[in-house]
Amino acid sequence: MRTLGSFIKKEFLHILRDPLSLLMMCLFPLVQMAVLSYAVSTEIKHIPFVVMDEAQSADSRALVEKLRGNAYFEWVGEVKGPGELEGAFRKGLCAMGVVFPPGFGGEPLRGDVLEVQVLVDASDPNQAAAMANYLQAEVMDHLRAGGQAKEPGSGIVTEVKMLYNPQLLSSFSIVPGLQGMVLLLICATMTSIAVVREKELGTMEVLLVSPLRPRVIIIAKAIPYVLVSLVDVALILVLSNVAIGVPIRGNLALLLAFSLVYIFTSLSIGMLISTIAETQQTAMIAAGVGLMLPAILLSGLVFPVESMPGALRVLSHVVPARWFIEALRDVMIKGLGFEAVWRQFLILSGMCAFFTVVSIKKFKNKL
Amino acid sequence: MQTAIFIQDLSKSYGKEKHRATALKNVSLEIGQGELFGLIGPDGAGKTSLFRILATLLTPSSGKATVEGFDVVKDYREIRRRVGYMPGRFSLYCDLSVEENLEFFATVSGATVRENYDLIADIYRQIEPFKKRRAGKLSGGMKQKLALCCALVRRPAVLLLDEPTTGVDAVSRREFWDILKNLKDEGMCIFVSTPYMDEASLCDRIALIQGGEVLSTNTPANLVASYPFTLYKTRAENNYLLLEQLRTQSNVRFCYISGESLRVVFHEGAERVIRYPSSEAEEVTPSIEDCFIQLMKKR
Repeated sequence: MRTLGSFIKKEFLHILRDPLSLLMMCLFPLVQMAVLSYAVSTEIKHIPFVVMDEAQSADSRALVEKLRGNAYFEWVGEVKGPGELEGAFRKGLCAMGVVFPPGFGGEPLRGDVLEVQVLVDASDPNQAAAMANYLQAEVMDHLRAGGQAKEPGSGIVTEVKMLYNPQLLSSFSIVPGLQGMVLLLICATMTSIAVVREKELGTMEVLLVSPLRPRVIIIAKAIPYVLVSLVDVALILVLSNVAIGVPIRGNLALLLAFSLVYIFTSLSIGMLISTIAETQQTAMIAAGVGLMLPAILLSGLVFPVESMPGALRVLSHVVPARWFIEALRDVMIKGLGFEAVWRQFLILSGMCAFFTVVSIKKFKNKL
Repeated sequence: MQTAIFIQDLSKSYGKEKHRATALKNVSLEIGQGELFGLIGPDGAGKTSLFRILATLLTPSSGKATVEGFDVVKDYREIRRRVGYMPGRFSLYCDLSVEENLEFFATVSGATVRENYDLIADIYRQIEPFKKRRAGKLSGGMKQKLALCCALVRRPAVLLLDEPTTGVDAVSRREFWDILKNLKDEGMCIFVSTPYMDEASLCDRIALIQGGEVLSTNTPANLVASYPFTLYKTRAENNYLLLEQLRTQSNVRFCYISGESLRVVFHEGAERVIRYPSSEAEEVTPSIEDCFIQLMKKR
């Protein structure tokens, strides 16, 4: 016990005596979160659009005004004729064109259908679909306000209510995902370097020729980084709540408990890497690249697990980030309790135990 | 005298079949308690491999070795409890202070600085003025003293020192050997390696090692006494020209440059003259280095 205490103290000294690395360990997750949450966002803003108004009616003008006032759209100008419209697309002036046919806005005759033509640059299909949806919503909204939607809309109207995230903000899904990725990377990298550094500096040679047991070395190395990681979790939560505006609807204690289990799992993976890697560079690459790709691609951060091909879906079961991200979305965004995420909790705990035992067993007792 | 280290037919090779490199070939040694034993040999002779095997950091390819009666393979944990090991490369924490390093190595070996202070007192007093300084900022000699303190603080029965004086200035080297002499008097077995032949005479017994093989094991005095030739020393303005000349002389058995002079051995019964302006042969007692060179030639 005294040995463990003294070892932990030594590890703390290493961290504190290297303020630059400590600063990196705290800033790196924040910067990553901030940059990625904006970069990965699938929301679209400021879509440049042009209008070809052949109707020149009060209605068409009112609709254009409405679009111009919307933050999603950005008014480029009016075009005359299909030639100019095509030219605007060709020159890249706009990503969307709205065409009001002659007669739009007049009293519709019975049986007539009001038509607005929308042209969308579909070179990015997702973006195109989103743009078209926004515009449709705007037009429907306008017609409804004018009392004209009743007639074409007579029949069945489906009204969709978006639960948990009514504005469909992508940050709600991405921020928990990023937390899972960033925490894994930072924890695994920190610990893997901590052990390998001793190998590189040659201090491991002296450490081994002592009554120290591998489990003491591994546990003592991990504990200071648990604290650093908890600081990271706090920073990340504050950042995502205050700056990015993602709510924390569930129980904060449950959220922190989950983070703690996940931290332990990530640290134990880092330990495993460090028992195998011989140099700090190898450890960095193994932890950075080897863990980042699965954490991004197989965790549900970018692609939903449900829509993965069968083999990849099976593979995603061994990616710890997958379970953490699932649970985080449930707790943070949906506000669910432990009864909804106990399975993820058990799986992560199991992974943590597994990696810890393996890294103690694989710890090289010789040179 | 009780045996502290026992090595029998020990071999060690690295790598797979095609690129096999042999570091040790059938090494046998027996070192007693309270003995200061030196392993003398040039770089690459296999010294570090032997130390690492004794420190249980490497497993031998064949042969047997025990430390304090414990087998280096089977009972490695017992050995790790009982030896103090100082690797050839400085292996303390550069970002920890002198005090913190000592404290740490005491605790991890289940000891305290206080209870074993008597053992390190003489050495530690020399570095105590700098105890708040980070180990990385110490001079070479100070570093070695601190490393020795850290190896000693657990009160080991056997001290393994792999080239402790390499890269250390002459004064610090002298001091270091004085310290070892004192420790030996405490009854500790000290096994030390060095590439410096002049340090050999400071040991109780020495083993000369070259190419993974032990050439000879003896006391320094006996080794010198067993030198089979009468050795002469000579020098000239230009030692290289003199060497060239000597090599053409039929009465010279062999000759070589040693420091600032030349060593010459004449054929038995041959005339002991040097045909070079203003150079004369003067009889000298062979040094350990001369013995080493002669043993290497014999191989």
